[in-house]
Amino acid sequence: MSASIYSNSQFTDSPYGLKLQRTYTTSASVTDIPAGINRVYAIVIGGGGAGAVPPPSATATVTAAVGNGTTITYTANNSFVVGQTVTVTGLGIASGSTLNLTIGVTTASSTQFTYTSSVVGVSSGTGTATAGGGVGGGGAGGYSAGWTYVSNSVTVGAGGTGTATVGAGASGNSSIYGMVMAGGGSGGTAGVNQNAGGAAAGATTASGTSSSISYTGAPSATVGQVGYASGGASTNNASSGGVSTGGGAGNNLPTGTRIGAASGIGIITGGGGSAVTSGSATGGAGGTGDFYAGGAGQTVGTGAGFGAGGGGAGFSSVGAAGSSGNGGNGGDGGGGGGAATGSGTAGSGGRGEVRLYF
Amino acid sequence: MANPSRRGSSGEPVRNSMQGGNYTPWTNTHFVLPYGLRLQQKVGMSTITNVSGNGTTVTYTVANSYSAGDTVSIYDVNPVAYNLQNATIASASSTQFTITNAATGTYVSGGTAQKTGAITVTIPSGITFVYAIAVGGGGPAGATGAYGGGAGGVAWGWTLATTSCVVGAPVGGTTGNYTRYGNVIAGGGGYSTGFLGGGGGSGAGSTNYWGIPGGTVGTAPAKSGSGSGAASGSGSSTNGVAGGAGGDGISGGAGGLSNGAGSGTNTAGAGGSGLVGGGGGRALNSTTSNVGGVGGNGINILTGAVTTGGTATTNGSGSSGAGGGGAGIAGNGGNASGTTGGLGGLGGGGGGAGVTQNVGGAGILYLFY
Repeated sequence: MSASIYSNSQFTDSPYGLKLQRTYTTSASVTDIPAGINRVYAIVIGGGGAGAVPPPSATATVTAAVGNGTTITYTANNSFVVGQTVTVTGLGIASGSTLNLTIGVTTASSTQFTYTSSVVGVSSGTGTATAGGGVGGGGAGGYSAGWTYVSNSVTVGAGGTGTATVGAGASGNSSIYGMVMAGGGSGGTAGVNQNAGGAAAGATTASGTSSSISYTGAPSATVGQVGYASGGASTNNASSGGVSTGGGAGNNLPTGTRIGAASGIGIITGGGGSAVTSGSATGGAGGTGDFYAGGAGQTVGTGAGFGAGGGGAGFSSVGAAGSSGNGGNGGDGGGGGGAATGSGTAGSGGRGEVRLYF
Repeated sequence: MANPSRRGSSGEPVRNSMQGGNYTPWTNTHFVLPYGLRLQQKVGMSTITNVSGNGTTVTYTVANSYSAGDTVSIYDVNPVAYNLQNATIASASSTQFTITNAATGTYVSGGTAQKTGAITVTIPSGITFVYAIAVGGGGPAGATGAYGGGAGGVAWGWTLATTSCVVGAPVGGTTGNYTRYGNVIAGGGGYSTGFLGGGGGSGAGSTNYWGIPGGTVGTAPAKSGSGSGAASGSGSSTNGVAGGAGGDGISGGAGGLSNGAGSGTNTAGAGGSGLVGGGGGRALNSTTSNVGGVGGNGINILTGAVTTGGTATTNGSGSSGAGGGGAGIAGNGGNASGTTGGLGGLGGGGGGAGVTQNVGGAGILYLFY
């Protein structure tokens, strides 16, 4: 008995023994594939997502507070922003329940801020409101691999650009060669009660904390879940493992000793979350990659310039460490950017990459 | 004839038996593994040849590369007291390792140790691509008190060679852990639902690495739906009506419970079968007979032999019938004992349900090049 290895699906399309022939780090025309090579094995990596930027830390003196069962209104000259986490301490109780709470600001003006709550009470005396809380790191770019017919062009996605503007990070961009494609990682989140890491990408660009379906068809993952592309980490937690991993979450508490969360391990990893606190802050580390290390979170310290997250490991280089309140950049080849503190700039996601084997 | 779709096979490292355009399979064709490659590594796995315990320390005789502090799980030793899960190695040499534990008994036969968690892998230079078969950890039994655990997911494919991997450990009370090498990743079996190919523990199975959908839960006493990760059996709260069997698939679903109060016999669902078997369910609340569900069968992908699910127990009024452990790819499921569910077999078997629930089998990782 004999079996043909040419007409037998059990023996097709092995990349075994192939050699790396081309590496693309920017979009380009592809004109130099040798004649006779009609199909190549491609590894395609999307750009990493950028880290998020939190509002700066701040304090204010609360002169009065009232909770009516629907809304708590704190009277205070302040610079807080909607979504920022605030811890109120020192208020007495004139009636009802204590209004010394940790809240997410629902509305804010220069003279008061509110929080939607069923608590009923009236304060006495004065108190202190401290605002802060870190935000999430960017998710890693997608990783796809497979055979494709040769193409005369390649698209390499840029990483999301980190900025100093308060808010979520920018997502990375997709990379494509022939029929193999990978999405960009999602930027770290920031907003009302949002401190989560950005999701990693599968075949298409991820959005928020949910990843996308992989090139192989593996399902997407939601916040905190393991996946081919794992979801962004939930508040205060590290992200789960995967082929590409989501960003670590920020620590949402504005007082005390706080540590931003790290990203999980994978081929390509997300950036670390940040910590912004009136106490001691340490940034979360970028995730450990199979080929390169993630960047360290910024070393412990007190003040606005501490607590930034490290960049995630890329396919081709290490993630950068967080420093001086700035998130570390993601490594080349899809690493997610680290989250910033309130005084810094978020880390950019690493650029994508395309490698061809034949 | 030229082969336009087989460029990779033209490389030098392809095994001798695959160099020609045609070849003659061996009698046992399953020995010709993917693309004619040979199994080169069972990552973190080693074969035990002797065990002894002195009441304080258990010493396993085994050629290994473990280190003190590593986490290992032990399977298939007779006597079973030496089958420890998630144990920390106290000391290790190349020929033995020790675990601090009170187990004793005369060694009879068998035994496989599997290291779990992050593991460093050494691949020979010049090997760029590796074919990996990954199996996630089996799900633990015990969701809603009486379901078995879903089988771990199975993933296979080519990936760049790397020096690191993750092998899923047995866990309790949550979904089994994943196993990953490069971009090949397999999810854990379900405690409730599985993920990335894992069978359902008390719910639906899951879509796997290749996008093959999971199964859906049926209606007791019927068997649930197939899928890459099959669904768990449906539970029965009607006395005398059996719990549903877990669905068959690549990874089997867990057996459903049977807990209706009355004098009729309650029979829990069996674990579903596949490459990896689900754990059997638990039966309770019958005043006459409570029959646990057997573990689902699996297949040893290296030999083609069936790995068997563990047997269940039957107990009467005031007690429970416990479910057998699901078979793993690398080992049989454990038998239930009394009211204790059986241990899931090595290679993703689901845990058996009982008054004392058992965990699923550890994941495994095979590398071919």
